Amino acid sequence: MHPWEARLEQIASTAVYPPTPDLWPALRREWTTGSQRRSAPTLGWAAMGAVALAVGLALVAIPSARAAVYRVIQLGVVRIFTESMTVTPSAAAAPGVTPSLTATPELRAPLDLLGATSVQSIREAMGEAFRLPTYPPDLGDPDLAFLQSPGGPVGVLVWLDPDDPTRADLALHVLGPGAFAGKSDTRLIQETQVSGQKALWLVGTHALQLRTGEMDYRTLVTGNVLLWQLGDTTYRLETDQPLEEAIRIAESLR
Amino acid sequence: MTPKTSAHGDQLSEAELVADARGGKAAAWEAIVSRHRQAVFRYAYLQSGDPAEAEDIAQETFLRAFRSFHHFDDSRPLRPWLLRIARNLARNRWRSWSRRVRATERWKSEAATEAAGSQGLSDGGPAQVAGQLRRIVAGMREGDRQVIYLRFFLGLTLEETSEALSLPLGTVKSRLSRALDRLRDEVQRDYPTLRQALEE
Repeated sequence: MHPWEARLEQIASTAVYPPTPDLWPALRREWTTGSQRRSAPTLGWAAMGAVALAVGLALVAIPSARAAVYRVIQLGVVRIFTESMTVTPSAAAAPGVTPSLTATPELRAPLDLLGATSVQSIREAMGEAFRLPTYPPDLGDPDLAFLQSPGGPVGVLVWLDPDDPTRADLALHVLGPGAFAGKSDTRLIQETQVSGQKALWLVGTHALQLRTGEMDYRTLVTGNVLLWQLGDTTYRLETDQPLEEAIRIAESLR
Repeated sequence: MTPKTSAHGDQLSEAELVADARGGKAAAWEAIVSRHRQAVFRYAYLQSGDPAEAEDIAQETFLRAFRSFHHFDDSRPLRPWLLRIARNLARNRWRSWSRRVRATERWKSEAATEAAGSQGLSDGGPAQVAGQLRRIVAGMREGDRQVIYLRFFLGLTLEETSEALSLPLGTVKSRLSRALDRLRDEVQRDYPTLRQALEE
């Protein structure tokens, strides 16, 4: 170790901290009583999600049903197939458009995407459309990066929740022109703005589909989603944060 | 770096403790908490700057570890995994606006104290120098800050730092090298007292 680094380590080791609290008494209570109480809701949400997805996919698989029940809202390359009465407060639905979904679902875990690559590869593939959030200031680099081509380039950047690697903390989809993304079973859509431009805020569990040719990727989205467009690029931010924070993140893209 | 305060922890290796914890033995969990609580709490304190916040994060870290212990790869060391959880909990909490405002207020207060110290109103002793170093690192970019906290403030090895940050060892080495270059430049430019302490 360089002498300067050794001295740095020595100084850092003398940093003063508050006394470390005794964590065990409270943890012991949780440890002895918590496991059964916690596992039930998790299974419940999983079951509810599976049912919601099954219902959503079953509906869009029946042409007459989807023509009657669904309307389509489009923002950029994303089409949202929604029940007409769920749109609030001012997002205009485009009636009479029949979604052309295929009925061959290929369900995968949300993080199990094709096209795993580096952030740099996505940057090179997407050029100026590629941007990373600079808010929150300590967000850091994404943990996972995927590049797909469902009709056009789609970059997916994922910040993982490391204590539960099946979940994402934050996910940003960058959808180039020509890509197709569909959403169904959306419960609440709110029109909002990102940098003065129209944006949509989707609340609640819904199905997401990315499609190219005969390939069909579908997954269940459990976070809230902010959709907006810059030029001919559509951005899709999935997060568990409230709308105000999602907008801040969206407007921080550089 | 690894205190052993419980009888169970004294007797068993980490692998044995992990196996016992998986088997539901409370004594194993107690020993794990005892061994790692200081590092987890201090790391949380470095992230938040607030003792109460750090205690919450540390407690939640062990709860999350307990709940998701089936995700833990027991061929790897436990401490970096715990610190990874703590870091992400701190990061998520930081997203709360009110916490950010409080942290900014603390930072302003500490900076004022530091300014007073630089004018001769404080003693400039080791604790003050270390405090100044901590505040400089706290103002660095996220990647630099984390690698310096883990490597120098918590004394992790490069391999453990790599585990805690989920980054390849080579990436950690290069990130650390760049972070230290930036830290050295900042200290040389703006912090004569710390520069002198580092060159002693």
